[in-house]
Amino acid sequence: MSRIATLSAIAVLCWACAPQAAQTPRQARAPQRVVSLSGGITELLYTMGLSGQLVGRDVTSTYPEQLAATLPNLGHVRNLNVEAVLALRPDLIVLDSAALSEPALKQIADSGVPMLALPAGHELELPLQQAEVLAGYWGDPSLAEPVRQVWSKGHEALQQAKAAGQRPVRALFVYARGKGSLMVAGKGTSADAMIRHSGGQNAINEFEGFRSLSAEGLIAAAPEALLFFDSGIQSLGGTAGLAEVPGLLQTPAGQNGDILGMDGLYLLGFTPRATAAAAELSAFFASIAQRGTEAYEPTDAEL
Amino acid sequence: MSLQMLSYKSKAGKMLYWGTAIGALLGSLAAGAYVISPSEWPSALLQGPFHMEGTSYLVWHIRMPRLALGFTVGAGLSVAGAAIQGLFRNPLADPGLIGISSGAMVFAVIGIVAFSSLPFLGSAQAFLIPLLAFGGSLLSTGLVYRLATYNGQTRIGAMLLAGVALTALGGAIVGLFSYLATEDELRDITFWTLGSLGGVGWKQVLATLPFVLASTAWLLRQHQALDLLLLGEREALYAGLEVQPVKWGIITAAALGVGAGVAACGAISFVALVVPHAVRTLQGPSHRGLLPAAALLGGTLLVVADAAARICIAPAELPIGIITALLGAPFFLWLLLRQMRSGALPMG
Amino acid sequence: MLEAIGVKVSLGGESVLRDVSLAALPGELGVVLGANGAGKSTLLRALSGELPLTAGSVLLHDRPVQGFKAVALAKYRAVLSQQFQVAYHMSVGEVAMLGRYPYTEPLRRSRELARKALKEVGLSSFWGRSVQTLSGGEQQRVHFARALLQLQGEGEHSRFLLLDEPTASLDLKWQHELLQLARHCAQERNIGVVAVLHDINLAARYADRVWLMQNGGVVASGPPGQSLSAEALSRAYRTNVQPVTHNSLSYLHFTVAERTAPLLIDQNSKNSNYVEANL
Repeated sequence: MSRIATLSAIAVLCWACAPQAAQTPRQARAPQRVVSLSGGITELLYTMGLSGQLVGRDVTSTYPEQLAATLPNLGHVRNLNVEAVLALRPDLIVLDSAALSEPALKQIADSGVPMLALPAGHELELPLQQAEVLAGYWGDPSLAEPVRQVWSKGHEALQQAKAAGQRPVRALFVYARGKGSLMVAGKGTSADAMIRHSGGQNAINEFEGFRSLSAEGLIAAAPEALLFFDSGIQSLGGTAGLAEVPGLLQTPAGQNGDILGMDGLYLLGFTPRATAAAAELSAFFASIAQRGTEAYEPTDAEL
Repeated sequence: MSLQMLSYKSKAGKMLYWGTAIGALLGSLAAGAYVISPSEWPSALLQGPFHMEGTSYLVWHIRMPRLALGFTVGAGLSVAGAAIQGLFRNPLADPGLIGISSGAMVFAVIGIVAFSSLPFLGSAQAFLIPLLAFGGSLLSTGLVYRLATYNGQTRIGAMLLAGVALTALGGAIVGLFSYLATEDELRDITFWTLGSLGGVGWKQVLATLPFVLASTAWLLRQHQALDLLLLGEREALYAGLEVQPVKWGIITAAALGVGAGVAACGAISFVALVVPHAVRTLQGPSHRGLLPAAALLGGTLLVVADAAARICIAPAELPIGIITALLGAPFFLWLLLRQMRSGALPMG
Repeated sequence: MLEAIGVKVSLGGESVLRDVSLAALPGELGVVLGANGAGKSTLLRALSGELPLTAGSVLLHDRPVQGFKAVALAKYRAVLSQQFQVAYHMSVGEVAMLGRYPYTEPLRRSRELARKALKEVGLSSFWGRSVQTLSGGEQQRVHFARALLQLQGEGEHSRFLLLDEPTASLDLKWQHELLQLARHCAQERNIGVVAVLHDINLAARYADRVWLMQNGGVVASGPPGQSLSAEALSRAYRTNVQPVTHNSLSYLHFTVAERTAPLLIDQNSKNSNYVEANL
């Protein structure tokens, strides 16, 4: 698998470097000024001990906090200030391949700054693949080792937690940005993947992507566990505000108080800590499954 | 400074407008988050557009196309705004307020979503989107005009209400498409509602410039017709104007200017409202001076606003529509207040 | 010459002009009189070439007026409509210069002519003022100057000026001044002026020729002395009109009889004449 990852990354790399490859002499691959345009990548570079080379980050790069506080924030990858990125005089920009279609990033690439687009996806192994690509770029395979360690430690915990789970718990991820803006994660989303990796089952099966949440839809989905970002719960006015979300208290999760808030990057960033996050989630699911021995069936009244 | 100096019809005024525009262009070329030292400038400029590296690339391929598109769109929007306000005989006839931008926006968004399934169109898409946006703005301008004029007179209430309805419809359709579209197809709904010049290259400039040039050049030649229309359609006809063809020509040209602008950088608000109003206040409503002055001032305003969008929260960037609204809305209020105090608010 | 021959016009399915024939002559001030709804303004619009005719024709220099291009027509026929607002703060000079639209000439020349025309209507010091801030009478005179400018060109064909109730919003002094001006222009510049008026006495005093309209047709025409009689006016206005005679008056003067008997008017028939109860 790692070979496939390496090959795909090299392919992406070649594409990104193609325009200037003819003009610039091949530089020694020990980037000194790196801009990271994804929270997961920033965390990856930090775990690999490369944070000293970082000169800029995007708005989602929030971990670790001390690092985030010292780096200039370039905003969202979809609304970049091209000049501000270039003003940092980076010799490498690392980003998710999903962001490559942005015209601003094309301009940056055309200006001759090497870009390294890392594979994207919703697999738990993603950070391992990404670490290998990065280590390969730096020409030092041992750089990926700390990532493997962090990842494996979490992975062991995840296996234990999953073993404790008796059945898949129906979970629902709610993306909240204030009371008026609640979205739930359907199939094909990062939240859907994390719920499955943790031994749970997405309570929404009917659609792909994120959709607005309706009170009736929430009750019909009958989730046993509700997942939020910490920031999402804050935006609703804290735990007390959750009670005001229409329909929430009518779900099994609402009635039993099985509502979990986690840091956004930790939960859905597919960072080196993704396995640890999955383990935490899995333990949460296991505790719900153990409490009720039978699968929950919604009553007619609740439907 | 005498008022005569502020009129495009005087030599001094002409120089003032051109000077301000050129100054704004040079200032914006020099300003940015990426600081270029004076010693770097000569080589950056002299290396020319085909040196695709470093400072030279930044100047020729990042700043210049952005300036060019900003100026083009600002000028196009302002001239179209001035023309529409002349035709409707009302200063409130802003392409944004009466739904023309919405029409352009809807068609552009439909085009983007529809074309994403037709990859063989390739780079022709860059020209098809402005054309579609033009179609949308033409349709909405025609519709509003039909609804709002009766017997050659403008019904301001009908005009504004038609705008409200079209804007609501546009918002709903854009919302629907952004709901259905994937993020790759649709950059962001804020791009359409607030506008942005981010990531603009020469390709977008080339896809916009011909449309805006055609629209502006034709409208500039219609200054006498627009002046006559200020008397009302019947009087204009009596005075020798072939009202019907000229009127639909003006609508078409204005829709072309607005549509191309919206397709290139979203619905940038207030420029088309504030700039003609400001020029009218400075030098009167006669279109001979109004149109070229509005073109220059509109281009200048958008270039300066974009410089502010790039610089003020660097290293991040603001959508330019926020800047134009922040600059434009208070200025517009000030103009309204001033005119109301003098008891001469022209309302049609 | 500007003439209407057997002109019929229908507006919204209703026939407003029924077989009107008349000829306006250069150098003359002709006045169209008649009660409300008699078709005066419609006649003017038909003469101007704006309205499509149901039947008949309006000829300018022996050519149908509808066949002219707007620019060509504008050089020979100007129209001064009832009160209308100029949008925005157009200056007096700018509005007057709009009259020069049909002509290709240097801006300086247009400005020169406009200054002269404004002087003629007594507004020489008003050049830079906003038209919107002027009184109704002053605005009327600005547009009068604009109309004169529109008719000022080379070419020997005669010109015609159509005035639609030009005195409607004017006070006594301006009413008379405007008609004097119109008559002066007619005589000096050999322009044929056709004015719709409400005031019989203004017509009687200033008109060279009068067309009295009733129910969409011309019922009397000719110099005021011939065409204006108390009987004809009484019929046309459906009230009891009487002549006033006084030594100081050198022209005809009419008023409505002091003790007018109540009128029995057959509302259902447009063609019916009034019947005086006590006759």
